[in-house]
Amino acid sequence: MNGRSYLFIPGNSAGMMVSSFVLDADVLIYDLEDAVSLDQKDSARHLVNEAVRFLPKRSQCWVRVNPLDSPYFMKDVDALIDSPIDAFLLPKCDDVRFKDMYAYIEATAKRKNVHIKPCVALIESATGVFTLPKLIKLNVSGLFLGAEDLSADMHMTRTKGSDEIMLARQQVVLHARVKGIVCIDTPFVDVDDMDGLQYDAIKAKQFGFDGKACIHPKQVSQINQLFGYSDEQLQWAQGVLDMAKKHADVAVFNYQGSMVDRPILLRAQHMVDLARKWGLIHE
Amino acid sequence: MYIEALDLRQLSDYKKLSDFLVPFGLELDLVDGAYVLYDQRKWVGCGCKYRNVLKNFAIAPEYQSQQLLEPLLQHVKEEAFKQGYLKTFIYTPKSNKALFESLYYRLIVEDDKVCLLENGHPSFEDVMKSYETNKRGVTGAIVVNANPFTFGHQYLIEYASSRVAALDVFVVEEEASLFSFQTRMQLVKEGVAHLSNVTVLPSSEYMVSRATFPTYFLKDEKRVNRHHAQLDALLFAKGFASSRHISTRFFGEEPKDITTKNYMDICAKILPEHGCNVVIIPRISADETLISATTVREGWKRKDWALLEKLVPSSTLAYLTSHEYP
Amino acid sequence: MIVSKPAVAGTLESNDCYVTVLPNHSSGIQLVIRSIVMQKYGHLIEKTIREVLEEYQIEHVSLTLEDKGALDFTIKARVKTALERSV
Repeated sequence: MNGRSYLFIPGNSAGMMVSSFVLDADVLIYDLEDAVSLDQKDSARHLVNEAVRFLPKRSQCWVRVNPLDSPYFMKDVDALIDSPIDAFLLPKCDDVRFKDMYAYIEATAKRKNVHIKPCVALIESATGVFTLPKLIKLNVSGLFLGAEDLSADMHMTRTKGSDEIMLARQQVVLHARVKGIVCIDTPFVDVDDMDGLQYDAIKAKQFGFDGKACIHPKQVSQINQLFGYSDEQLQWAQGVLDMAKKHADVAVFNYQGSMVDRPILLRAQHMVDLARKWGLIHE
Repeated sequence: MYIEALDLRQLSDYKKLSDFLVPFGLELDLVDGAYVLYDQRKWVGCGCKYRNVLKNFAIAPEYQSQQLLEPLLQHVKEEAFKQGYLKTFIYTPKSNKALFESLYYRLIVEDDKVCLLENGHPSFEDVMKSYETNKRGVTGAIVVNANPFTFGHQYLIEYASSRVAALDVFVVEEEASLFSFQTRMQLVKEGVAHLSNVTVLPSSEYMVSRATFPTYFLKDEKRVNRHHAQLDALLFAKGFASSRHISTRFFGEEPKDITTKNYMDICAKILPEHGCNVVIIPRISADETLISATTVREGWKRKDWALLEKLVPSSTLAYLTSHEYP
Repeated sequence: MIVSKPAVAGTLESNDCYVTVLPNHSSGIQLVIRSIVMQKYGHLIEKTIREVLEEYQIEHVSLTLEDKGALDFTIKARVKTALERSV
């Protein structure tokens, strides 16, 4: 489930779909919700459905379906439950809505005799943030912060400094860590401000987010770089793994002046695995 | 970016659109729908329509590289589609022809400055094919509105039919008259039943229609667009004249109506260039009253049967006496 | 499935196609395909359309497809959308 960059692709745009699979985003999110007008919901559903079964998979593929209380949610799930997508991104989640949506998805998977897909919760409302403790008791596979809708719901004014969403960010990261799932930060919406993006992404990383949403392809490489691992970090990780091979018979050993026990070893392995997946390590 | 319909009844919006079009050399003429492309809240483009004719497409210069014509055109075309039009026309200066052709609008006819393109179903080719005939011999044509069919029309048709082997009488389909197309067509057929070489045909929307020749119906000679008239003449020459092997087109002399007279003059110039002669038939009168359909309609309103007996054949009279003036 | 009213789907953006579906009560399947790559790929576009028509069990339809470089999946999606809108 891990990715650095999560790029939204409007679900009704054939051109963007075709170019999307050559982009470097770790996760492509095909959007059936906000990027699609009401009179084209059916059109987008078909396009995404055909695309995910046809396009070669370079990145992970998620689909953001329509909200539970729209006329489209069930049709979206029915169409995509047996497709090769990696996860559903469920909008406007709180504990109750996630539970209901998950129940329908689970029932549909059962009905069609397929495995259920992981479901990532989009936290974009006051209730969403407030009910995080209950939400993580459910079968949620990731937490995704949506600050634009959240700030509207909270009557906040959205700023580039993002002080106003500090609490929401912390809560999302906290609950993701407790549950042991990924957490993804909200997109930076001014696509022409690359400095602003840098500042915002660094902040998100500092807060502990695993990755960040992108709303334009040109944001992807910067996000990938910031949420990836630096050369030093990778060198350290590889060093730990090499040392572990030499000390295969002991549970704990010393590396560069620090103690390395199993949790640290696992983290190093995880880093190297991801780095390999992201093309940061070439063998 | 997004597209929104403009309410043209709002004077301020109407003026804003008018002003927006000025630098492009475009004028807001007959329009029943106008759509604006916005970037944030700024106007960056527009497209209009009148029935199924799409026109007045303009994109601000700084946005022209962004291929914004496509979404605008798509939007206006689909508005027409929602209104039930399965086919749309575009009038555009020749400089834009390639742009619209790349969006699958096909050229039907063009004059020196303007071209007429269409997209949809049925196509010009399909419609002209439905008019095809195997008839041989000299074929003539006359186009009548016949609102209603009078001795004047009968005279013109008798005159024309006697000078050709076969005569096609086209009745204008456009519903812009007191008498419906069905009625007009019926009265024409009844009034020419005695002529064995006459075929009565509907005009289709490619002949004097609100779509392809809207200014004709405005009855304001200053506003008749010369290009509309030219393209209508070209449509006749390339379509109907070709499908039905028409070598002569007859016109009834028109002393009063300037719009019709201007149109006839243009036909008189263009049709011969495409192998079709133009013959102008002088009008007849009855008891010094010029037989015009207008006179007949006025007479019908007044129930002046004595007058009407002199102006229309018995078939038309039978209709008038058995129907109320609406 | 019976096509009972006109419907459209898609756009003429790059890599997309515009599909128009009209009812045609007994004239069978009438296709008009317009594409700049008609010579090279016209038959493949037609094949894809016919596969969808068969899947939806359509016997009578007048379908026009205007192509701007659409790949297979786009053609399928747009045809399916237009058909479902035409019911």
